[in-house]
Amino acid sequence: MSSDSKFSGSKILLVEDEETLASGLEYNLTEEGYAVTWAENGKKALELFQAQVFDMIILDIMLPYIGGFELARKIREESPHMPILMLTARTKVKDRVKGLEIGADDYLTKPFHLEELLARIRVILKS
Amino acid sequence: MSKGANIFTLVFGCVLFIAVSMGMSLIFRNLTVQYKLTKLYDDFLANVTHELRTPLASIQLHLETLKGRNVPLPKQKKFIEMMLKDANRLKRLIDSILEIAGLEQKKAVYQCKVFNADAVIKGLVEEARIQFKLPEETVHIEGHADCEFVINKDAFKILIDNLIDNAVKYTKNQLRIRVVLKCTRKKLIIEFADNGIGIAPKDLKKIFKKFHRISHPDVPNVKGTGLGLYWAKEIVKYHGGKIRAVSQANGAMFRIELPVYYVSKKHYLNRLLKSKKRMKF
Repeated sequence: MSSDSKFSGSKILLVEDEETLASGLEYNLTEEGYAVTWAENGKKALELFQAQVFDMIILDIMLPYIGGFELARKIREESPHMPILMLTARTKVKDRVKGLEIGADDYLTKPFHLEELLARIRVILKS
Repeated sequence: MSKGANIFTLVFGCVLFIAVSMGMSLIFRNLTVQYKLTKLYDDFLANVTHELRTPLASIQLHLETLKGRNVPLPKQKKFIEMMLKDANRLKRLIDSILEIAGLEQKKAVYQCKVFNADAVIKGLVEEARIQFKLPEETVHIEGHADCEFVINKDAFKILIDNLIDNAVKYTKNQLRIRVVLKCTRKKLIIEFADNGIGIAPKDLKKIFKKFHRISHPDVPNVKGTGLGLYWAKEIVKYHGGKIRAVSQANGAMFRIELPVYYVSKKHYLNRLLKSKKRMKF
C-alpha cells in the first residue's frame, strides 16, 4: 500500500454502521498514518463532528438515527469546506447525484478496492 | 330521422360512453396497481443489492488487506472471523429468498413434530434475545401455553427471529418486548408486542405483503428486504394458523393463532406429520 507522509496524522471521521467493514477500514486508515475516529450512527457522528476537529469525513448513507444525506447537509451548514467522501452500497445514479449535489466531494460505491479508496482520500486531502 | 331512431342513438351513445368510461377507469386502475408493484419490486431489488454489497465490501476489504499488508497473526484471525460473519450474512440472505420462493410455490416441505407450545415458544424467544444481544429485562413473557402444537421448529425460529428483528429495527427508544401466551380449547394464541413506532391502521394488512416496508421519520434508513413479515405470515399459514397486526396506542402488536394438536383437523395433521421429505433448505 502506498502512503503519503504529507497527510500522515490527518484526522478522519469514519461514519459507518457496519461493524465488520468499519473495523477493516479503521485498521487500514490507521496503518496509513491517519488518526481515525469511528461513529456507528449519524447521531454520534454529528456529536463528534461538533466536538472535535477533522480533516475529512468518510460517510455511509444508510445510517441509523440520522441518515447520511441529512448528516452531510448538516455538516455542510456548519462547515461548508469540510471534505466528504460518501462510501455506500447505494448505486443508483439518483443517489450519486443527490450525494454530490448535497456537497460530497466524492462518491464511492461498495464493494470498492482498497487502493482506490486510499487514492481518493489522498486526492481529497490534497485539494 | 324518426323519434324512435333518435332515442335509440341517444341510448346507444350513453351505453357506449359508460362502457368506454368503465374501460378507461379499469385500465387506469390496472396501470396504477402495476406501477405500485413495479416500484415495490424496484425497491426490493435496491434493498437486496444493498444487503448483498455491504458484506461483500467487507469481505473484499479484508482479503485485500491480508494480501497487501503484513498483518500480525492475531489480527489475521480476527479478519477471518469477520469474513466468516459476513459470509454467513450473505448465506442467510440467499437462503431466505430461496426459502420464501419455496413456500410460495408450495415446494417447501417442513418436517413437523408435536411440541409443547410453552417450552418451544419461550425457548425460541430466549434464543432470539441472546442472538440479538438484548438485555434480559427487554423481553417479558407472560402466561402459560400448556398445550401441544405441530410445527417445524426451524421455521418457528425464523418466525420469532423475524418478529424480534422487526421490533429492534422499528424502535427508537429503549426496546421493550412483551410476549403473551395462552391456550384455548382449539387454539394456541401468541401475542407479540413492542414499544416501537407502531403501525398505522392503513398499514395493518399491507405490512404482510411482499416487499412492503414502513417508512417513518423516527427510524430512518431501516435496512432489510421487505420480506420478513411476509415470510412470517407464510410460515404461520403453512402451519394452519393466522397472523395479524393489531393497532394499539404504543408500538406494534402481532397476534398469532395456531391450531392445538388434539383438536386440529385431521387433514392438517396428516399433511404435517406424514411428510417424509426433509426441509430442502
